[in-house]
Amino acid sequence: MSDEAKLWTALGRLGEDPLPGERSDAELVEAALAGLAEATADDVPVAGPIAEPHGPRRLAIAMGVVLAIAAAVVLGWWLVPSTGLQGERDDSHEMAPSIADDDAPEGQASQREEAERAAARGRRPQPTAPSPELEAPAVADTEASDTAAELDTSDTEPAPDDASDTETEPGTARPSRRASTPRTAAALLEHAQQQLSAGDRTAAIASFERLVDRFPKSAEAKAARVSLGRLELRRGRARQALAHFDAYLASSTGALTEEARYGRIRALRSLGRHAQELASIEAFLAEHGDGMYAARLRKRAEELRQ
Amino acid sequence: MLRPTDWGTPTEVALTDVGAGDPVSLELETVRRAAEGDERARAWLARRVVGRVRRVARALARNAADADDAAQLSLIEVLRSAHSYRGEASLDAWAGRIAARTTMRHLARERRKAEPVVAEAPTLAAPTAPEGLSETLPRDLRCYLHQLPEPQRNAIVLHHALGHSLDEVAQMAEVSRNTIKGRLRLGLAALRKLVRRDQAIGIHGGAA
Repeated sequence: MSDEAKLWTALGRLGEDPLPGERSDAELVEAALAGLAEATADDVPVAGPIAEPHGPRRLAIAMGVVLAIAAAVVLGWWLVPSTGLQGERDDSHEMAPSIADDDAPEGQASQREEAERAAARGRRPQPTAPSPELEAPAVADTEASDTAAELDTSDTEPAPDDASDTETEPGTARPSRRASTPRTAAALLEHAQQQLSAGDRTAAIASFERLVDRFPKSAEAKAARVSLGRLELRRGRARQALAHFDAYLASSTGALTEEARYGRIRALRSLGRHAQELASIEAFLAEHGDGMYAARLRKRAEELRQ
Repeated sequence: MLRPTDWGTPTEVALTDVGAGDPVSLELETVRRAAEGDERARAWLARRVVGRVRRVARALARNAADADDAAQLSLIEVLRSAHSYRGEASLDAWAGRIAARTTMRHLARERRKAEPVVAEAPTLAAPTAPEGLSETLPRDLRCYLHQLPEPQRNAIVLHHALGHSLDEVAQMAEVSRNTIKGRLRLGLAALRKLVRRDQAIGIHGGAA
């Protein structure tokens, strides 16, 4: 199944399967009926109106603000004798747009929309409202960001045979003895990922290591460090994993920085270096406080502090 | 309070004095009775829409506790809004729209209250797929969705997962249709990028 098909399949099934630990339907219905009965008895609104929750309320607030300001303008005109009728009209005309601007979420939304459009134009045109049937495969969807350049090498790489356009290390990319052996960094990375996908971790590790060995300065080798770190962790070789994560982080910051830092923390935990682990967690949270591992690491940090 | 065993079918619950009719009319009549406060009709209505309501809540919420709370509030709102059901759309579609609005509002309120308290994160390090099975994404889709900005996430879930039209999503989010299209475009691009990132580092639907 292609990546794109997997994505759309998962989207189509989202919410269908029960989540671990959730209540049964019967319990939920019973609780809702009890909640409704309580709310009715106490005459306490459970929540706001549903059918059109915000529109009329916002309109009323906006109209109230406009009326209040108009009243203030009229009052000002009465209190300042030198101000004539023309002045009042001018004031009103000047005020109206500013009120509209201040109290118009739609206007703000339009600005955001413009920003999003600009961002989208900066990348590449995308199909609007795509459907699963019409969606192009993900591998064709390349990103132009600098971080993606490191990650998405597999998206733009040519076929393994086409070595002319891909990065090669001078003096190291010799013709392979076997025709099937990938000859470029990108092809090696893809080869390793395919092995990993097929469940052959040992072969994948060998390919990743060959990539690091043959093209040590390539972006692919840098990304391979994170994969190697994860695989070594999985094999219980925390020290080797730590070395790979450190190598990635030492080279420069990249799109896998968060993943590498998280892996480093896991490696430190496995090695029992709790002080370093806590320091790494704190550094991680300072950089990636909203990241996908943040919640888990906060809990771990609390455990370590106790 | 009625127990689940007392719920009965719509015909048993509300229509004994209405006579035979088509299913839509029967449902409409039952919902009308629920709006008037008929306890058995309310119980039937809650049970009738609980599946749809729960799917909406699960799709939008981050974890089971949030989904349960959102689903319960949504059910209450459905019951309170029963008077607004006119039978123009299916009961599921009508309840789904109410559930989507209620869930989004509840989650936004909870997030404001909870910040910066730690929320329960979905399982990240342990992909849910069985070993060696590569028919799924590297991680649970929920993990990827919750890395997107909330407006993009909601647009994707409402439109692509729950099947609401662009106009419906725009109305729920109180923005223009073009804004929703932009959010979908950017959100899907970000989603694909996250999946590719996992694949680039060797997470393959259960592996590593």
